Amino acid sequence: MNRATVRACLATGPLMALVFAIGWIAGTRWIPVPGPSMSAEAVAALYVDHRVSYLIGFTLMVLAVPLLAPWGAALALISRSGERGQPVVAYAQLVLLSCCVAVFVTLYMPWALAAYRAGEVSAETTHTMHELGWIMFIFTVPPFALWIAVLAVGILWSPREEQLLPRWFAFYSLAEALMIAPAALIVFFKTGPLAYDGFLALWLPLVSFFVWMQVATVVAWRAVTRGAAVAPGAVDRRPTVVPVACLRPVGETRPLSTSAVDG
Amino acid sequence: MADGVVAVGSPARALEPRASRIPGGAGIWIFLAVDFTYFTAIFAAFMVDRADRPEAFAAARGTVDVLTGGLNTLLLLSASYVAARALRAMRHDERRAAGRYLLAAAALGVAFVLSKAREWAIELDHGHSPGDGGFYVYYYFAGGMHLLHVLIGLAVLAWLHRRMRTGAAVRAEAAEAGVVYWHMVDLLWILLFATIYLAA
Repeated sequence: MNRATVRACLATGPLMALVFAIGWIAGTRWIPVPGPSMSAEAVAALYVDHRVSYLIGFTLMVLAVPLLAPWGAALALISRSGERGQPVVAYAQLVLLSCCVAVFVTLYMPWALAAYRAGEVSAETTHTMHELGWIMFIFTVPPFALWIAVLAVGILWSPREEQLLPRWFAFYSLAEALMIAPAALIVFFKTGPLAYDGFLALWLPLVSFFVWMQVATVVAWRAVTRGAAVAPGAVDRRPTVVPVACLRPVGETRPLSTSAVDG
Repeated sequence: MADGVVAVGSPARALEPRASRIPGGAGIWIFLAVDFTYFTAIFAAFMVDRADRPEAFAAARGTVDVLTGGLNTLLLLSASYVAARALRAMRHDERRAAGRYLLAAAALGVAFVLSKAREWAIELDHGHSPGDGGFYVYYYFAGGMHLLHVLIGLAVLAWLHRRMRTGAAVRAEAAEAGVVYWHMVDLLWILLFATIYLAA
């Protein structure tokens, strides 16, 4: 493992955000989203009218989302630099990350199925699939919040001189975790800001999460620059190239062994 | 000792705040900035919704207990003052006094939590639930998020108190960050009280 590999993994974060955004904005065009106050017929009609663009959108999003894995793994590895002893915080991050990616990939199934069979099944079936997708998209926010919080706590608990990630980023991450966690309240609301199409349940957590991802990428990128080795055993093992001076200072004895090289 | 890492328990002079240092470190202020942005977003959403349905919101606002809200404001303001005294005592290496002030701040915080629970129980008894998607969503949600902050603040105060009692040292930055956070909890409440309880 070397810096270039870690950076390649980190670069998948912004790439994921970009592809996801294209899928959302150009594919599904869910701004605003078909929310819980829409009738089953209206939702089903949307799926029939925009079947292909929905399918393209979902495909782009499901292709984008797994990129979260290498990105999060790189972040866990970099934060590991400051963790003393057994890497339990890094392990916790990786387990939570796996959970997030699994959920984030699975949730496109009901949406994709709704679009796949749009017009062939009843409006109620399409509507149920649509809402199942939304519940899976937002109600499953706790592992995301906990993942971010664990990352933050890991940074704060590690010795300052050994941690490559800045402490302010840990505080920012804690605030971000607090900001997205309440989205899990969507199951109690069918209208208002905490319904699944609401500002506090969807837009603020979603946008702030992607902003946080970009900040995390920049911070981690700089950490890789700062740290020669990103984790124990991850030292760059390329042979060190010692430059041979073209000119030798005047008066220095010319060593016999290098005469052949010097020509 | 590293710059800005001054342990409580060392001579008082070492704990004098230096002009070049941010109290509590930059991190806690980043947290406050993000957190304030979040609450500002909640209040902005509230105002937009209220502008859409002014009558419904005004009627609902008429039912909230402003007096209890005022009492809660007093509790948190006092808690903030006492916490500031605790930090002052820590800076002067007065461990016992600091412990007492921290305990008093926490007691006022607990009183706030109990008062809030009573207020919500009464509101729910009157059938004012957040399920309507209007005023009460903000009333309970903003209040609930704030309450979560109070609980986190109480945990921080308990931690500081324990360090004082056991004779352990606390990083000056950590103590300051804890008290700055507690002040923020107070300030957030004042904003919440003004926006949701008072503004017509």
